Amino acid sequence: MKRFFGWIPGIANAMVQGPWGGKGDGPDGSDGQGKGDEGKGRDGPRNPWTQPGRPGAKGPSAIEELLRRSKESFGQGGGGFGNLPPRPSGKALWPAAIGILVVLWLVLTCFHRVGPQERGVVTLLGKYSRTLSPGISLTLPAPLENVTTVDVEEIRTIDIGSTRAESENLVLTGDQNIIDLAYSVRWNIRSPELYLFQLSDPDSSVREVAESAMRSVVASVSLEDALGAGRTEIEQQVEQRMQEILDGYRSGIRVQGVAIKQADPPTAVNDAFKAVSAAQQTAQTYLNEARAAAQQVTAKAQGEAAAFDKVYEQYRLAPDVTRRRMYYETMEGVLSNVDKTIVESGNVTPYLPLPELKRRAQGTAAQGSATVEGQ
Amino acid sequence: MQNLVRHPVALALLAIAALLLIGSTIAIVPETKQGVIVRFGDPKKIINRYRPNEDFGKTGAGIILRWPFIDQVVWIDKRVLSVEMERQQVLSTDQLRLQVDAFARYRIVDPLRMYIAAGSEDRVSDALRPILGSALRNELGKRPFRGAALP
Repeated sequence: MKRFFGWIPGIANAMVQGPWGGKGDGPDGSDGQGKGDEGKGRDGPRNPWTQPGRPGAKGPSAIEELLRRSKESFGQGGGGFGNLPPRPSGKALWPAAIGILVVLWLVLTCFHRVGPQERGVVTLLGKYSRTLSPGISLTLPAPLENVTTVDVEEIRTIDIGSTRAESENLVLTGDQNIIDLAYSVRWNIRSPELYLFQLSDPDSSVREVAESAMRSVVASVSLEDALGAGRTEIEQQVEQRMQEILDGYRSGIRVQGVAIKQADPPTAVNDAFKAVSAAQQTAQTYLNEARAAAQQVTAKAQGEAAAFDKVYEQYRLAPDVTRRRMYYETMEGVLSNVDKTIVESGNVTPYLPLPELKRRAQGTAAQGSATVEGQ
Repeated sequence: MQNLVRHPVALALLAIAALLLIGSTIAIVPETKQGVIVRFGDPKKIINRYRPNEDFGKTGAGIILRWPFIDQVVWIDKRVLSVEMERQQVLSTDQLRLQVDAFARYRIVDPLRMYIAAGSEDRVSDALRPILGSALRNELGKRPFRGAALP
């Protein structure tokens, strides 16, 4: 033992700048400084763990003391129970250690904290015994009773197909068209014990059931419905159908909803599809335009007919006056925009169209002229 | 006994032997499994056999005793299992090609016969796959394209 004490202070001193000490591996050369420290006193950067309250104390600190002790016991134990403290009275310590382990085991496996969104399924020697509600519950220790907690509130989502262009999930519709469908299914666990004990792989079951339900529902609707109008109905039908199938398995799963995220024609014919719908829209536009034009014409014609009716009424009342007035009105309309030469009726004969000559001389284009014969 | 207490190594060995004995005598049957007790290759008894619509907690699950080292328990899944078929081509009666994707769900209801006929669950699903495929081809091959592809 003397031998140990001989070199242990040496270890202790080395430890001063050892792993926690002046960080011998520092690149700034604090290594050399730290070593110099030991001899000189307390200048320069110090080991932060040594206690400054004891000037000149070369004695070991608490950690060093512990290390030293463990070294000692290590030496004594001869490589046996290295980590155990030395036996105080020669009595075996391991019963106590086992006792502690047993208590720890009991505490860890008897008390179960079940979160508000969880249920704990207890099996007593493999046999289902009960389901724990949220809170702290007591069970028998581990090998006897096992608790599996299941999150029953969490809504799980399964996506089938994707909205990206490169992957397609093609589904056949009732009128033998193909659509690229992406949808998601939301579900949660209704009955944790059924969920745990009935299906070997519930998650993939939900996926497969969703796919088959979706295919069978889509196969009964037309392309138009699948692409647009009938989506809500499809979603409801799929949900219902899935629930039926899963209930048939007694899976303990509740389908919360099915949402169709995308229903498009497949990429290969998507352009053609767009062209078709564009053409349909154009046709619709033309139809609308034609209808508008027709209405316009009809309205105009009706207006004119009504106006004629009115005029005819007046004409019937006084045919002479009306005729004359109409003649004047027409003449007014015809003559208001042309050059007029008014010639007295009777025996005067115009022999020289003077204004015409003048105009031609000026180089302007000849205007139409009219001669009005007075009545 | 005094001797045993004095010799912890002997005590430990004895404890291990006792644990081994208990472990091979007692078997814990979980709710998700059924089993066949096999004595030297001869199936003796079915434990926790599946019965439709039974409630958990009233099944045959729990603890069972068996003869140590003589009885062997072959565990068989009691849950609904699935077998998936790879996508394959099927011809309909009007010689049109269909790409068919299928899956089947099954449950082993007679573990004894399953053990005798197949031996293990993996072999069951391996055996089911071609059966499913040929049944599918037969059934779809009897129908015209429209009837096969659409309901």
